[in-house]
Amino acid sequence: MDQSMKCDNCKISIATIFVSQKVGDKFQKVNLCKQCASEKGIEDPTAYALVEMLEGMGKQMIIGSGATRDEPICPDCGFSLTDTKKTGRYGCANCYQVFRDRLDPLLEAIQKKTRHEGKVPRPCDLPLALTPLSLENPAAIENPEIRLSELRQALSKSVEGEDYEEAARLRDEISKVEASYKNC
Amino acid sequence: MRITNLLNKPAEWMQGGGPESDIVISSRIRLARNLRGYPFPGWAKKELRAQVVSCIRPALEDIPEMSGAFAEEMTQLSALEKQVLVERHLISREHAAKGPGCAVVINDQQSLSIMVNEEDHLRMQAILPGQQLMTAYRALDQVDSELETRLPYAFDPDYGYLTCCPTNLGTGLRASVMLHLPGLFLSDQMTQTMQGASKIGLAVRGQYGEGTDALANLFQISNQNTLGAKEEDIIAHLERVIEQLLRNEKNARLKVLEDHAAMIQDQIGRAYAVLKYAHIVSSKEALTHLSMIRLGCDMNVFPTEARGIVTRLLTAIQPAHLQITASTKLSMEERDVLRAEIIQENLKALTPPDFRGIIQHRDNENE
Repeated sequence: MDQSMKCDNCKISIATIFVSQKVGDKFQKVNLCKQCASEKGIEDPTAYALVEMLEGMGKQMIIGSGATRDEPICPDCGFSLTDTKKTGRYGCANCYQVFRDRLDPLLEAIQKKTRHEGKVPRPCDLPLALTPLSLENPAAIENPEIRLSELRQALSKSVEGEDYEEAARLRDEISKVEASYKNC
Repeated sequence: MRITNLLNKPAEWMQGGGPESDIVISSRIRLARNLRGYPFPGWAKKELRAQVVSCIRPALEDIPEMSGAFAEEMTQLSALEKQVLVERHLISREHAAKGPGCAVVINDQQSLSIMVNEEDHLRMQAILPGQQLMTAYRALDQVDSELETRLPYAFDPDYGYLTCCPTNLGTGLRASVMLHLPGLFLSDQMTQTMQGASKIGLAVRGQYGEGTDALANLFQISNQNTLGAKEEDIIAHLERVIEQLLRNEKNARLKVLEDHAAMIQDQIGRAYAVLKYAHIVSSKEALTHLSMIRLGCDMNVFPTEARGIVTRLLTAIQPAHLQITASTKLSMEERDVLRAEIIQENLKALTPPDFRGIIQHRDNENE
């Protein structure tokens, strides 16, 4: 059994509940077994939603709560594929990059057409003084799009070849590049 | 501008007028925009929403179109004040329910209103009386172009303006008109019209949008798709459909007159009697009868000038507007009494229905 599949709390039982939580500017992922989750009162994601509602946060929910381990998660806002399916919405602008592969079929169904034909805003060369999601990661990579496509190709190759260790490493690398990419 | 000034002055569109104003009450354009680097409002923590507001508000106050505008955090407005803005179609019901970190900015004529942190960071709207979709779009496009140099918009060359819900993706544009369609309703053609509209990518809804009833024979019609067409083409398509709908409505009115002249006379006569002489009038009853008075104006049963008064009353008799007029909270019973008073006062000069035109029409048919 892979070490990471054990509960982060008791470190004995197998983790079956995976929670992503935003702490400050970072996303923290916690893997818990059923018992520990229950003890911490976070077994039921709807219980969270209830707390949020009581605090007057309205629609806010714990993002990532419905995520299975291997699905893509937006590094900017923590939205998982499951979250997009559940809400029918996206978490932030960067989600459109992360879940790009799945977008066209969806758009064919709801919009008929899949490419923008309308207005294009003039480039806004304002420094993004207010970019709380990316403070730790100033754009360090010269051409992230090329790098990303290389990484993604390598990822699908390693998955095909069932080299899951390499796949996991590549996945983390992709997340890192994407995190620094969003403001380009 | 202060909220009291805004509330005491009717919005430009409420005064009526504009092209095709016998059937088209108002035209609205909405654009959805977001900022890069922030989660969409529905999932953003309070602090991040506040940051978005503090980023957007100065940008809005900086542009000439919004100089002297009313700008306020939603938490600073009372439930009643927010309800007035909903009744005027200046904010959505969803936005009225929002908590901290959400704001609204409205210009002096109340023709431009901008919701900050509704479902998207920016929901901008232009609303004008009559059929003025393109004029409304030009006005809002100007605001948008001013803002794009001041705010880092979330935009993708393939998918256009990125929105929280992919149903708004691309142009982020929703164009809609409010139509008064008593002819189509009385001749049982509304269901058919709604189905036809949905087949060509348009939605027909009640007065206050999704999930609301069509009171006073008022229907909202809008585009459903936002991606894959230019803004002007989306609007032009809707305009063509509106032209057709106006023809259908006019034909339906003639047909109802031919087939059921007595019924039309009866409904207009009853509407006149109730609104002139009743002392307790519910919202629904008032709207139903006002619709018939408006139809009467269009059929020359009443002087055409009365149409403007009726249009204004459609909003003035709504619950929050009544309570603002009374400057106090009113129970439902009290509202029904005040509503009757206000209608009587406004219709004081309205002459009794003159059906000669209709009768002549009927007699000609019989010969």
